[in-house]
Amino acid sequence: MADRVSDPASRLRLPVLVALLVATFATTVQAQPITNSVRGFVTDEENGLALPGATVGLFSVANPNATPTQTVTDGDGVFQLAGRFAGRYALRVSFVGYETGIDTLLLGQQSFVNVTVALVPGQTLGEVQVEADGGAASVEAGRQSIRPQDLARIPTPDLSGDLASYLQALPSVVAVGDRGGGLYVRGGTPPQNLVLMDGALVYQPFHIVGFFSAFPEDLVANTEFYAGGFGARYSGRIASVLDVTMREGNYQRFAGSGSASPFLLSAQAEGPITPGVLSVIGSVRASVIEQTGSLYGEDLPLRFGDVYVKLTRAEAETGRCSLTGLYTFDEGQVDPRDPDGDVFGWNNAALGGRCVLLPRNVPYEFETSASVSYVSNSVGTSARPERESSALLFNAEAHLTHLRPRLRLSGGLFTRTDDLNYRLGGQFVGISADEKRLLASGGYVEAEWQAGYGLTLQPGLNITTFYGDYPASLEPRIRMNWQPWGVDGPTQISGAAGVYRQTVNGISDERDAGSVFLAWLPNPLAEEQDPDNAINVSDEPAEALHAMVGIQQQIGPFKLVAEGYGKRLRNLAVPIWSALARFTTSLTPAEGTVYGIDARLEWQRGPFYAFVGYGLAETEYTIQQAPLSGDGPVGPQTYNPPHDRRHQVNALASLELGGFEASVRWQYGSGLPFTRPFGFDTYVPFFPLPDVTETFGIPRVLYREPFNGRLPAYHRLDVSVSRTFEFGPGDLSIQVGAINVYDRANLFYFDIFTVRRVDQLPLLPFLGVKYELGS
Amino acid sequence: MPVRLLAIVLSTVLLVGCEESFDPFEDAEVRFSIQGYLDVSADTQYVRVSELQQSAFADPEVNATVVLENLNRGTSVTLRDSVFTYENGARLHNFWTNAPIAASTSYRITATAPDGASASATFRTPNEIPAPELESGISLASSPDNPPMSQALTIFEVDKVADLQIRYELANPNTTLQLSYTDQLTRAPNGRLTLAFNAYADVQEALTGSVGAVCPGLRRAEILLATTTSEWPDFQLFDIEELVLPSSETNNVEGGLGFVGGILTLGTEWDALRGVFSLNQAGCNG
Repeated sequence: MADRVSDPASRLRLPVLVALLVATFATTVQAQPITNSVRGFVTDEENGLALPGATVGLFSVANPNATPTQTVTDGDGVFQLAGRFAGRYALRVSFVGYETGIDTLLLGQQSFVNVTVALVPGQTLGEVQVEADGGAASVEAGRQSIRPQDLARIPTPDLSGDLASYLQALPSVVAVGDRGGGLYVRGGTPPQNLVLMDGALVYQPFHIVGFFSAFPEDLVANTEFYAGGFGARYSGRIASVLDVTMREGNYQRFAGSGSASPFLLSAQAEGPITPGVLSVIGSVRASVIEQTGSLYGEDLPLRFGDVYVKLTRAEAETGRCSLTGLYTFDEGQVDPRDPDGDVFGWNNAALGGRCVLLPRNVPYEFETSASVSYVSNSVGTSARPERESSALLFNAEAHLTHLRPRLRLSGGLFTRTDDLNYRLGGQFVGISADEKRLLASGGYVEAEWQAGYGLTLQPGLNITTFYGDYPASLEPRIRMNWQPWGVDGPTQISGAAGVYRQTVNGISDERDAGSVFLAWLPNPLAEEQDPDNAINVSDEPAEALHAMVGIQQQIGPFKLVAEGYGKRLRNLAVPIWSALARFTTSLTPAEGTVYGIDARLEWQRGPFYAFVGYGLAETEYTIQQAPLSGDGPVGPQTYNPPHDRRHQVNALASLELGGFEASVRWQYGSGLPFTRPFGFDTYVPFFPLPDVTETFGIPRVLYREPFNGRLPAYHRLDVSVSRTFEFGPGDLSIQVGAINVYDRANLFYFDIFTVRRVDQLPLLPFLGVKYELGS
Repeated sequence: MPVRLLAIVLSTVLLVGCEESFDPFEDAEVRFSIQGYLDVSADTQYVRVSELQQSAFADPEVNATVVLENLNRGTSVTLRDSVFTYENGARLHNFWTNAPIAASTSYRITATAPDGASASATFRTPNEIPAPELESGISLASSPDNPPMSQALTIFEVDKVADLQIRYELANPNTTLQLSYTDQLTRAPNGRLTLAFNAYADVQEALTGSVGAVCPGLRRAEILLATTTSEWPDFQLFDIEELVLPSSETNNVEGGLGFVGGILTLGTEWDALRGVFSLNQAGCNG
């Protein structure tokens, strides 16, 4: 498995790495004979937008019985076909909701052919399509493509679906409540998720109200979600990857929309700057739940919003470049009934430029990106935050892909700078305020090899070097896919394994479920940790080993997928167990294991769609500490952290009928761990000798083990019905629905110090309207 | 099919939709914590008795009878409840008695609830001891630049010391310092406990963090000694995180939490220390 270069003298440096990667890549490429390649973009003819997930096939005209070479466009609408093509071929491109595009190509004369196919919206011809990734049960070794229409199926109190609501419907994703903005993927914590927007990192994209994120349906073109086992291209996080490709603006005409719901007001505009070449899209959203909460008799002091803009330039056949900017804000009280309660807030800013290029007569696909990302967190009052943390990232990357028959080679280089700044007010012992800069560079190589008999192997290696803080990290990874009955067969078996490391981590106080403050710090704080209060501190990054295997099976109209996974975690930083009822805590390194099963069943027939997902998981942390109950020495103590949801069920059904779109979703989650005390008192310290009439003592909470209890199970039913009408020059959409239809009192968390329960949202009926022009 | 699926979903909802009872607290096997000590030298004894609360911020109510038994004589006395309000505004119950406490005697203190639940601690009080011997060893070779002085305190016939402090009332600066010397006691082969120290240097260091930075003048010095028995835990050796655990080995309350012990306190003025400080002051520039 993984090897780590721990000897400083043997640390790899960037020049060596660059030479190594380039030499490996070039040697491999040049060793192969030159073959023909057909590649390009698939777009919508009416608006010029790229179409991810379109099926592209190359059929021999001379030999119609020959097996066609087929593929699916990626998130940028790019396709690449490789083979020994000679003669006349038909390039057929199909996509749901579009007329099939057919182009005739004479191949064999040129080594490479670039072609852009623009599809006309209309009826798809009844021909076989390569299975485009998408749908909740299309999971391949933890990877899933999420399309905008998937987001639309989840009842959300806004006319636009949202990636946050969708992810919470997946068996691998746990949300501990409907506010707070954190998603836990397969035992990982929110800061261990890598969230990319057009290649730019967004630290905390999920809004304080859990239905919403910076990624609404209207703005997302495609999302690649890896619940684990992600390939060598991604580094710096140890749990999951959410790689979001944002939608481009309309290249042909101006369009706009505005919507209102009890939760959110939004406006969006897009259009061509240079028709067919340069487009822009922008969106502004702001929450109104704080104002409308009184309609429901609820005090909901929660505010959030975001501003998004994307400028895209499309060069026919050869490339697309974009500049994407995002700003988000969140602020509010998780416990609105506590007048002295903490006000949490965070802001994200991200600006990134990215180009995907298919140069003529060069057998590579180039992708370059540069971005700057910022996040700030605070808790206290708006005017006087008691704790603050911020992180600023500069990142630059370059990727290269070369396609050969049965072999796809990828490689890339990156460099990044993390500037961390924190003032934690003594929350974590030994860590108060500091600034830290972390520099890292590295690269990766990855191959996707079709080994025959339906087997595809994707080995890769990511190498990251750090300047002075951590030893170089070698992270080997592999993904595999086996379709024993061929590409069109009903069965697919997939697996993945790999080593993942993370040096910049978000530390939260897991003792307090009501705290959503996240401190971005270097992991695991060895330099700052107070040696008197730390146990076995180390200077190693957080580490995860992933392994998973799954099967996807088509049974008639049903698609079934089941995947088992396991993880080993090292060098996590968690609060020590303590009976002191205090705000301050020491951190200690933890190890962990995660095991689980993710099972999904999907069915679609005509206008009806149904999905049921079940997740079984167990997450366990181990720390070195004296036991709380009974005498004993310092040793391994195990517990289930507060996000360890053992069972999770999601059921979703949607129907399009008579112009109406109706969705119903039910979710169930077994109880989350919490610390169940047996009482409180005040401890009197006996040294120096006290006078009990003058010495108050130290308040303490008495419990036998941390997280020894379970909160009640959580379940909720949400429904929505919407319809779109022509109204004046545009379209008017109206949506009605309800969150928590049977008004279940779902417990968010229980404050054991004040003996007060904080519940999640009650029954909330909603009415939303949206007006669109030029769509 | 859609109707059947919807029916299945709704049935499941109805099955699991029943409200579950939720008790955030574990059943406590203990009711009371009892904390404090009986001082053979004191006229009034106070012991903190708390009933375990189900809120960190609730005003604690203690509904208990607290009885102190002299196990040697077979007598007992019921302690009286009193509520104290502390600097932070919190209120706590301290039970008290004016009954005399005998040395070298076994006692048991018991808190009993009306329903019979109880917690108790059994302990011994220390023996009477002779007055400690105080020495101010002023070096004749001392000079203004080199005023090494040492003081010595010898404690006889003592089983254990719970706390040893010296209170310095200073003239320059005008303040009071109370320094602990418990950790510096050593036991001689003859069983005596001795303390060798440099009071002037200790005060300088306590005031400024370094020796020689100031020239403190002394008004008065008093030794505060609390002796106890071998049952008394070495609290100073434990981390606070260990001490507050319900399972801490310092607990001696059966059926409850906390610690109750016996001590004997002595307060002794040490006039000779003024001379030590004066001599040092003489060599002080400024």
